[in-house]
Amino acid sequence: MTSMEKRLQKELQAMTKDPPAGVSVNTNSLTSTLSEWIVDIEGAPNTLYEGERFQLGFKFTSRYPFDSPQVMFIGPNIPVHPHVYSNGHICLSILTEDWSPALSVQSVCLSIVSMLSSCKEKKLPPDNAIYVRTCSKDPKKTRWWYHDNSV
Amino acid sequence: MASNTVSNHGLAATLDCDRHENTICLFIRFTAHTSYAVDVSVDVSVRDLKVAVAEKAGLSADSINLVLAGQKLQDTDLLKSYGIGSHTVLHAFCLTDQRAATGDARRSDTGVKTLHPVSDPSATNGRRERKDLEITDDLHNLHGGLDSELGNRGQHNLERSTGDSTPQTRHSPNNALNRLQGYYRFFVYCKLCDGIRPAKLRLVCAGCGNGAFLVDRGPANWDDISTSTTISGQCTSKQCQCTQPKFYLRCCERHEGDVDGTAVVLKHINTNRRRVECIACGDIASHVLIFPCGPGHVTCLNCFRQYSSVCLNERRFTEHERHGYTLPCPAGCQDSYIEETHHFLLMGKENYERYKNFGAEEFVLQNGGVLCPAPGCGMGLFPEDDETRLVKCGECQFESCKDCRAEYHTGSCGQMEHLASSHAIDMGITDEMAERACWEQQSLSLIEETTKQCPNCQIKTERSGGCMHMVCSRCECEWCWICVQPWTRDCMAQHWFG
Repeated sequence: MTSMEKRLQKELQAMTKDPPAGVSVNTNSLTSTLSEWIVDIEGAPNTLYEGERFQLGFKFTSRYPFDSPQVMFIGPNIPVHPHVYSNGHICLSILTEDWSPALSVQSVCLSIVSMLSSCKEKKLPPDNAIYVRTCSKDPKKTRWWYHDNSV
Repeated sequence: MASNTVSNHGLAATLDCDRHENTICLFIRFTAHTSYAVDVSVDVSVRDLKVAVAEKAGLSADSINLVLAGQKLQDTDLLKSYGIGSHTVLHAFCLTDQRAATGDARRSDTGVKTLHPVSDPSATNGRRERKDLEITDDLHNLHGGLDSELGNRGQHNLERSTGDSTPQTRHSPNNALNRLQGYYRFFVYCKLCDGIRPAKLRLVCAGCGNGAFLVDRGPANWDDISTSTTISGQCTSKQCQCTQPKFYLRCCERHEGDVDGTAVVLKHINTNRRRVECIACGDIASHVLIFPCGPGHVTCLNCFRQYSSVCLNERRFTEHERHGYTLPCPAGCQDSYIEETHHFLLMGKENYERYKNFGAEEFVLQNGGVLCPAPGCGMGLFPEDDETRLVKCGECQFESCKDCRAEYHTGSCGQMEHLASSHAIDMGITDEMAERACWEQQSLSLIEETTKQCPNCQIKTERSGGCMHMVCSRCECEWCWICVQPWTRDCMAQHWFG
């Protein structure tokens, strides 16, 4: 087993055994090498997204966890949020340059739930139209400028 | 071991021990030229060993002192309580009390028999001051603790070896042995084995190099075994007044001959005694690399290999002023850089060669140098600080322009002259044919077509997809592929993705 598989096995075990509130791994979606996951998340109570359900798609390369996972919203419901483009791409620094192998699927999910929770107004990123029209399919090929950490 | 080495057949029988896995072969070294091979059981006492050695060397057992880890071995202790492994070299000397002994005492002590091989240089003066058994130091597994837990263990071992431990305190020698043998504390990159090996900590007299040197205390940290150690002791050689030990580490494998300088200490690697999970794969590995950050994050050696290889490919190493071209803890902790760059040998030889090249390049660039742009050269050059833009490579003689890093040219930069195709002999070659058949020109024009130069450091950069927001892998300048200027908010608004 590669170190990526070993690591993901452990993460999967931990997350299915003791899932954090509002986060659950969709085990039907898992491939044998665990290179792709779908995680269901739920908007936290008392936030703009309360009761909404979203899906996050994770893709891992063999260099995981030294290489960050590709993470984006997928499925019919993409949250309207200033850091989430309507194609599901998420502008969050831990997904690219601030990624560390000490992070995990669980910590990424919790960061995203927390990013949603702290949102004050549901609106799309200002450059959504041009981004979605022209961007690459892989959000990791986008070099973001992380401007605003407040939402 | 020279011709004087005597293999000791039958000694095991003398000591009444079975020849089973507990039998080890020890080398008892009197001087650099005089040593004896002795097969003994680890279950016998130090006294038994002395008797065997005395018989072999023709000396009185009482006169023999054995040294391990800079400490005298105590008669009543069992060999296994010291964790001595097979093929250990023990140094021996003959006086019961080095400081109290006078020359006369020595003569009477050893004069009973004069059986020492004459190759002992000290024997040539007829006095035979140190005809002696200076038994060894094989410090591996002794001394050693490099953190608090290890420190305690080191202390424990020393108590044992200084004979303070009563039989009661040694209630479970087997456990002690297992514990000692299971835990090597030091690891080196052995150039002879070409790999990571457990290491033995050893010491000699800093003055005369004598292995039978007695230290006042065992080392407790890395400083204690450095050249500026505060540990003192005494040399058992009569001629030497030196009080300074010199510690060194050597590969645990047997290597014949001079091994000086062949083992590089890998100070961040340790046995995973605390059974900590690897930060990357989550496994509990037998050996780990411990980063020098506050929390002491660990990776298993496989993951460290992978981590450093990924970072090497992405050129994410940092040139650190004290530690060289290195990496921090993967969790991004402060002050967590690998302090000894030989750890990167774990990436394998080929990658290590690349690592050294990258490191040298980074050093040149950070110190105001340039790299020769000629294909296959890349020599580090430090151009004169004058008006001229001409930089000539001392290695390949290629002449380049200091400003645009292209081949040297007259006129302004940016208008690279194409090599003129001159046909000295008319063989009916048309320009078109020459164009197609031109190896160098083709790759040059390919580079021209597919790359743009970083506006800050001029390195030719290829864009392999993604957005137009480039980050230079050499100087970290953020620039726009379309404007070839530093990245701005306007670039993002107008042509983020082209």
